[in-house]
Amino acid sequence: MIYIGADCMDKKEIILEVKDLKVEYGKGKKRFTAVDGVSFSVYKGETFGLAGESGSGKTTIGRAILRIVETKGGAIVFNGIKISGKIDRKLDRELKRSIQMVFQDPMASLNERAKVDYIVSEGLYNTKKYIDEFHRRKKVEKALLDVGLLPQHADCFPHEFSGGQRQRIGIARAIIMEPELLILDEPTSALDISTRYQIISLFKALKEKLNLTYIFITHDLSLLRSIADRIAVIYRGKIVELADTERLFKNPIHPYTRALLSAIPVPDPVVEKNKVLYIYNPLLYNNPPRLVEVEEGHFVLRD
Amino acid sequence: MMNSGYSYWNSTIRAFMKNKVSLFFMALMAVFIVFIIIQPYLPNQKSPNVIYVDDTTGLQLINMPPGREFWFGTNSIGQDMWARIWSGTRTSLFIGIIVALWENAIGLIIGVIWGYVRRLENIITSIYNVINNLPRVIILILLAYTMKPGVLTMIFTMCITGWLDTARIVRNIVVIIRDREYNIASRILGTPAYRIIYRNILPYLVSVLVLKATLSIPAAIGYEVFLTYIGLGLPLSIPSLGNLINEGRGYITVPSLRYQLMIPAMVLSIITVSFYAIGNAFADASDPRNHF
Amino acid sequence: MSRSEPLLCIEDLVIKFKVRGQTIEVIRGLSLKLYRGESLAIVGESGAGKSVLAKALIGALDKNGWIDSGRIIYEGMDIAKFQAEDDWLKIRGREIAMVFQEPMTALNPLKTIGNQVEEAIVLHEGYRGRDARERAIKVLENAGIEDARKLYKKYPHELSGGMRQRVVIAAALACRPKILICDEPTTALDVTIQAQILKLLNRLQEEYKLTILFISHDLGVVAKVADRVAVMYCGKIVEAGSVKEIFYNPRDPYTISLLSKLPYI
Repeated sequence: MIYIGADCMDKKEIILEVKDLKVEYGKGKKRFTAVDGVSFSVYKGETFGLAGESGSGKTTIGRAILRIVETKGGAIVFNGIKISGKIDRKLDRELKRSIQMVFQDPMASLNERAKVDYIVSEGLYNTKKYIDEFHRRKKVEKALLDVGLLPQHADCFPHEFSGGQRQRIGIARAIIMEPELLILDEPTSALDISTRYQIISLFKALKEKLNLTYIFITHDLSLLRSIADRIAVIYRGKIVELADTERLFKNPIHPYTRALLSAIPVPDPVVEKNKVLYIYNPLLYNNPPRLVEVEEGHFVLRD
Repeated sequence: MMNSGYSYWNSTIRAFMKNKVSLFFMALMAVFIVFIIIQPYLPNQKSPNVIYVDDTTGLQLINMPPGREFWFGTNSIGQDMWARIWSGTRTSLFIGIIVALWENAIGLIIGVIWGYVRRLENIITSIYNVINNLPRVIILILLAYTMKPGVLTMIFTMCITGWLDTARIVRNIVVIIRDREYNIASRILGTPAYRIIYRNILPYLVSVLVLKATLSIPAAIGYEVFLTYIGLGLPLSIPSLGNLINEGRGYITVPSLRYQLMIPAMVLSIITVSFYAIGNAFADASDPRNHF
Repeated sequence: MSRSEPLLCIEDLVIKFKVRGQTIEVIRGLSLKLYRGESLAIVGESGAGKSVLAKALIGALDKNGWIDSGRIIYEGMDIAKFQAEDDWLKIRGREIAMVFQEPMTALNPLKTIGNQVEEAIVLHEGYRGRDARERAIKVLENAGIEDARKLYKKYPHELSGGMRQRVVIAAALACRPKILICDEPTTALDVTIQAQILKLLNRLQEEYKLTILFISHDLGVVAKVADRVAVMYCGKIVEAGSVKEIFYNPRDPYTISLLSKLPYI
């Protein structure tokens, strides 16, 4: 397995910075802090993994970056420009091109009543980034080919496709905008093993071909091992550990990370049956906890 | 994969055509409506309001059973039942269709805004709750009482509150759909709200709306009958199914005169059953799971 | 694990469905043996027919499906031939119990969880009143629910996914069935919760001397739970063997391709 670490790249250009992000849901007594002071940077060209279980806040972070969810505090900076909070219309429109998202459920992320042609070109219609009808259609066909579908699929409806193919349509819809940053929100969780493998291969190929940067949100750490350069582990709205992929797996420090890793079932009977499960008891921090750099590039949440 | 031949409406129509029962009712209603429109222009039709008098005795031809001269007989003051029935059906159906169209158009617009625009959600919910808590019947009675009896009054009173139901149904569906992933995807792609509503949400509302609309028609006629029953309906000079049923109500105990109740009641039943059948069949046909 | 007579024996099972006017074969001549006391995992991707098989074993096939041919032998009876609900009621719950993927489909949202476990006990074991209640609490505690008395009065939606699944398992085991069928019981749960539930199942299997039929698409989970594995593809079993044989020495090309697609830790 080829290991591409962030420290292999000399020029670490930061494409996205999340600074002390806070997101709250609900009002009054029912107020719930989904994201509680999360900070990290994403380098151009890397695949940044955001790992956590349900309720960790990982999806919320993705949505906050895309401005679907309001932020309560902190800032998100993209290519040096602040994109959280109130921004002007021009920037808003520009962001629709630069940052896009691929969703989890291929059955729910496409409009059943629209043709694939419309679905894939929806963003183009909004930003009018095409010269004429012919040009637009050509763009659609290219996007479909890029994701492994055929041009004539543009005239079909979503229900005529399998889950994996529908997910490809969702990817085509995102890449046709020529984004710089793609947020992938559990893009393979609803797929079969073989399909998952194909889609992950597709993501890897597209990243090379189209110069993309990925933020890969998932609960499946083993998946991240095969695609992510760096991983941030999130628990209850806070990053508990952040490190290069291999370092995280070889030397997990935070107890939650260790519990998570030990809980992942390994497809190896002898290993699995003899494994000791590491249980995480939520830590009580005495002082406000901070991310401490324990070794180069490896951060752990501590008092 | 070849070019998709799938079209939602084609499949819906095809599925609808498979249901022989509803096709029958649809054909029945079509014939029915055509008939009642052209009926006054057919030869030998009598006027609904003229009181017929026996040539020889000079007495009014009251309460005559259905016969050769008067196909549906005459009522208690000598008017031709045949003409009255069809005139009444025309009036009632007219009211019913106008009210149904209005209810559903307004209900749709308000329901969509209510469900989609989060900022207005609370306000509209409060308005809805206030109006909904007032019994519709009381509002109908009050309005009908204060305004001059007539077709427009009828239509007005029913339209004031009729949109509530549709709005609520539409709003519930919109609320469920608006947070589905494909709608969030549209927002991220920068699609403006009106286009999201038009392309992503409206198609899912169509079948519900058509069902509601087809059922609104008999419901509106039913309200009209009810108001007439309590004396707040149309004046007697404008025959309607409500009037006719009300008139005939008194004769239920007299076997020979029962026709004055049975005939309008049967017409009302046929209309109601037909629209229910058509509406339900359409709702089933428009469900994509029933396609192919 | 004694290799004696199988507890459940499926022979050449064929199950067909009528979908939109067409008849399709979902299970195409499936044969499988389940031995007493073992944990047999059925692995396959979606569409292979795993859930259909599971439902057939407890007589819960959808209305448009039927067993076309083949036998399912349990304790000398061919339960594939069962038509009447009454026959199934004797087997379901008491002999063969099932845990589904989505606990909310197994639990009644309108009844408290205590009520539901009690119901199973009253129905199958004949306890009444306070005896049934005490037994229900014991069963819940045994499934790892510590505050069973407190949670007794709670409704399903008030519990987390992991807790709900424990309740479902508790209810299923309340009647001491011989066979427990688990259809993707942890797929909808978080990884850490999944690990706990799998550990629970392991423990309960020993305690109750259960035979488990475990259905999953997750090979890691299978490696953890199974003694034997049957690989399912397109309505048939393409390979079956001990868990070590399947993982370390697969022979069928489909099995091999499945194993090759995994990201290993």
